[in-house]
Amino acid sequence: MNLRTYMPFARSVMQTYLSYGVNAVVFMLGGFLRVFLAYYLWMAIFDSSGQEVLRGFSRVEMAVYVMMMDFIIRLTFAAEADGWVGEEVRSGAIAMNLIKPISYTGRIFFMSLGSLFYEVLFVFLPMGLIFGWLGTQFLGVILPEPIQFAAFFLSVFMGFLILFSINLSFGFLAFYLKNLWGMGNFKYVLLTFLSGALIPISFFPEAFQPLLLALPFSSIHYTPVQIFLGKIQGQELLVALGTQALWAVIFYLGSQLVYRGAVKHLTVQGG
Amino acid sequence: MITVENLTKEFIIHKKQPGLLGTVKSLFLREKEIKKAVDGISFTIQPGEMVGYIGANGAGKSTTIKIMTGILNPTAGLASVNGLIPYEQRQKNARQIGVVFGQRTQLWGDLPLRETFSILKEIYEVPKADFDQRMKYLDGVLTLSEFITQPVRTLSLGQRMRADLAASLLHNPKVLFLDEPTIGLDIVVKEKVLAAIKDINKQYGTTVILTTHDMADIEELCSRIIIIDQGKKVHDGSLAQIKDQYGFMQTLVMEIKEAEKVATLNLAATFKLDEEDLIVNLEDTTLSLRFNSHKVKASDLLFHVMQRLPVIDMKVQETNIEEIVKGIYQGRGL
Repeated sequence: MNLRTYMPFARSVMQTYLSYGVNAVVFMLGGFLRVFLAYYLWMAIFDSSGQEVLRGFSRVEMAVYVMMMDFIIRLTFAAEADGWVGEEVRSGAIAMNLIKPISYTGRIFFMSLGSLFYEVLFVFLPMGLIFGWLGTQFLGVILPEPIQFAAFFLSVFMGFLILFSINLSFGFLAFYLKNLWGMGNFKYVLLTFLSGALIPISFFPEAFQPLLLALPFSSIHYTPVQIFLGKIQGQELLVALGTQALWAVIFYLGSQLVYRGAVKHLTVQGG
Repeated sequence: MITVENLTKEFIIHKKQPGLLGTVKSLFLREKEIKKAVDGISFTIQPGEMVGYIGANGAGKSTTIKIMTGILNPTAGLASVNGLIPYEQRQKNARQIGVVFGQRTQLWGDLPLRETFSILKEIYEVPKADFDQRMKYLDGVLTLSEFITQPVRTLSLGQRMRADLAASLLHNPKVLFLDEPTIGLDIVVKEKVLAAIKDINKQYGTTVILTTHDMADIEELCSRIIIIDQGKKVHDGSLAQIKDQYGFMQTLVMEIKEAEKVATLNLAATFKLDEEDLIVNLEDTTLSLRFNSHKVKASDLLFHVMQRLPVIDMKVQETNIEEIVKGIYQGRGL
């Protein structure tokens, strides 16, 4: 795979998003609103419980969880392969891409990377600085060590890889699941629920927690935030990253199978 | 060189019954029907040839093109393009061919056209010097500079088609597949596109395979045509050949006076023509003689008539390629 061949696709997605400049600002404001809302909601829960530590989360940790999870969701869902693939499968434009001397899934991956770069540069960096400043100045947040930061980024990227493969497979199923939009919404809600993105997994009933942690979804969102919070360290950290890598490989292989099946169907049945 | 041997493509069609009940029923019981889109087609195309590949709607033209470009797998038979099997070596084959599907664009819609071209430059790994030279050439024949900064989705149909053609030629492909490249174009743009195709074939020796419903395109470009009907090849030969084989019937149309004297002409007896070799038709003062040009000359017929009647005006109509093809589609020949 030649990087020079695929980088233009990443760049083109970034350019497209940049060309919707106003949209990006609105999105960012929406992000602030979401985070503030969640923050005050959790603080109200702390107040009414009368406890300072709930299910292993202090007030400060919960604030960090709320802020970072918003980033993690945005960064991982930058792997919006399902939207692109679904559209191309349904409209038949996928055939136009099969006559090009490039890997189809490779192209979609680099488009997702472009989306990720955009999120990092134009959402994560500016908003992260603002949140970092607010958090350290007013909430007493202590920023993690550089090595922890690095582990966090690696972990988010693995979450991105897992979600990319899931979304890619999902996109190819668009042909069979005619109403992808409804299915897409359902997938989003179910996924953010099971991955610990909506509520930390430690808030689920005790009996449920091992199951949720064993499922691949926690590797997408919960693992990175736990690493950022310093709740996963040392040997555990290596295990957590290893588990993520394993899921990434498994889902990658699965998505390639789905892709082969879809292309076979396309080339045998003409879509 | 392109070789196609006994190529066959079948599609399975699931019949749907009408109405809501029918839809529910077809969830459980699906009636299958096998449709042969391409049925045992064989041909060979030499490098540098320009071949018109024509047939009625649904005759299997696009299906054949899709197999040769690697988008579809054949059910049986073989296709090979310069020694590569397109549907087995899709990416490798894609490097040596250019494709334009008139009904669809292969350009990426959100980007300015210029960006799209530079993406293609990277994909096909075209060296910068070659790329610049090609762009200059393509701009010359297709006047791309008028709209090269616009995003693809804002282009008009004619501009988009020129852009698509340019995109398919950037990497100097050995073979160019054009599936209805002039569909919906106005006469000026159409001429531009046809001239560009012609020029590219001449300059670079590019093999061109063209499907179209417009016979003028074929007459303009192709020395050879392959006609298919219901998935089968019904004709393969030069344009002159097909005209000779099917287009020997010509029509002599004359404006005459004293129309009542037509009955006394005795043309069939004079020239010893059978019923199918001469059809006489008189409408008011217009006399049209449809005759077999292998058996009698238009000038002889005209001379004979002029000796007996005053002729004010006359013209000879050849059967055009359009009529020939129509005749073949309808399965009767002309």
